[in-house]
Amino acid sequence: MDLLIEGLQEAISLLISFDPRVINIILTSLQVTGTALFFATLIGIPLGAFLGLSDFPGKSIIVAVLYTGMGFPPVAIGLLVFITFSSAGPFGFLNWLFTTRAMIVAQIIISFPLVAGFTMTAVSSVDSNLLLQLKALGATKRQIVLAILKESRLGVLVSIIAGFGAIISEVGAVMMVGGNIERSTRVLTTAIVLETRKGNFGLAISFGIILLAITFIVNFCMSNLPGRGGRRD
Amino acid sequence: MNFLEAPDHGEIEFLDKVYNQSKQPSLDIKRKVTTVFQRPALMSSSVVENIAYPLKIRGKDVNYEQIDQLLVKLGLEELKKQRADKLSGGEAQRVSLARALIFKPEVLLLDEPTSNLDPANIKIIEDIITDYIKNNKTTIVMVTHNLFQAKRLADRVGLLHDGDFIEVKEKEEFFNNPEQELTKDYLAGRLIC
Repeated sequence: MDLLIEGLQEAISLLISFDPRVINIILTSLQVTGTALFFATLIGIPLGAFLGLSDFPGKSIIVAVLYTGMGFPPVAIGLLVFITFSSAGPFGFLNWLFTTRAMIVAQIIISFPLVAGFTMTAVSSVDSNLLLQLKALGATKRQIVLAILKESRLGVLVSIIAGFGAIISEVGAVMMVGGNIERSTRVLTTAIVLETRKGNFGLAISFGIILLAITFIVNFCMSNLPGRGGRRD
Repeated sequence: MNFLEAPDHGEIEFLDKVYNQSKQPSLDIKRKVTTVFQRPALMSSSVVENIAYPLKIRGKDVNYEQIDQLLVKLGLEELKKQRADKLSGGEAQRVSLARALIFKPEVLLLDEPTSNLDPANIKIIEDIITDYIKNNKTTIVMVTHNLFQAKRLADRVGLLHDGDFIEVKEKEEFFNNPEQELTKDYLAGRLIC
């Protein structure tokens, strides 16, 4: 218990003092996760909407792959990205390994199946009669998709929150492809691992508390967005 | 007929043009026809926004005064800001009808719009349809199993059985001088199968 209280006190003092090391770690975390979530959303929502609203041969295979992706171990994705961007890999020429770019790529791969999968489920659950009615009213395919996404906005929001939750707390992949380099690729999760290994439990706990606080604030803000849709009776 | 599906055979002649398997109508043509289904499907936005939707997707200015007038006629003025997906069945069907009427389609298909409604709601909907026909040039094709409703609303009546029209005539002729045995049986209240 004392350790936790000390950790909390240390977290507060670190934040109040604007310790540049801590601020850098927080900003790197937000930059990597924010960018990855942006691209995961950009890919995942249209893909989920497409899969939820269309029927074509081979769809069940794509859906099975997507569901597999939703439960794919992050460390395995880290390994895949590591090999891809290593000097012997197909994208080694980019020199992205041990940079935030490789971390972003790994996090996109981790989060986009979640965004797409939950969006697909949300869109599929909209009354199929509404699709037919919108078509009958003269809506184009694009207008129908936008209307259905609006109808399922709560589910789409959950998909983004799930994607965010999966990557903000992820450590295996970012450690592997980022290398946990100070003032470069060190993020909150990798910093927690490092400080715990060094025996700096107070600092590790304070990073943990900061991570929890960021996660809570982001989730609270997203789940209270205006017009997110209320409960359906 | 409502251009929701491409025909697998036959032709549809509409506004002096013929559409079939190889020639599909453009979006502009499709937008001249609409359907109100038996089960209303509304969006979770407000009643007003649901009614304004067909105008918005056509890029037209929304005349909210016109919508208000329609809502008064349909007895929905007090519900205009309410979420449309929380309305009762009768209210929802009235909104569904208003949404179809607001953009003045050339052809309005009504697929048993009153089948699940109580008499009060049926009367409101029938009154609106009657009033609308008087003031607009819209062709309305209505499916109903209610012979009395057909007598009240129709100019021409057809008996549809197993996907084929058995007989189509002016209302008086249809009810007073049916030619086909199936029509005679149906009008006499005998079960046809």
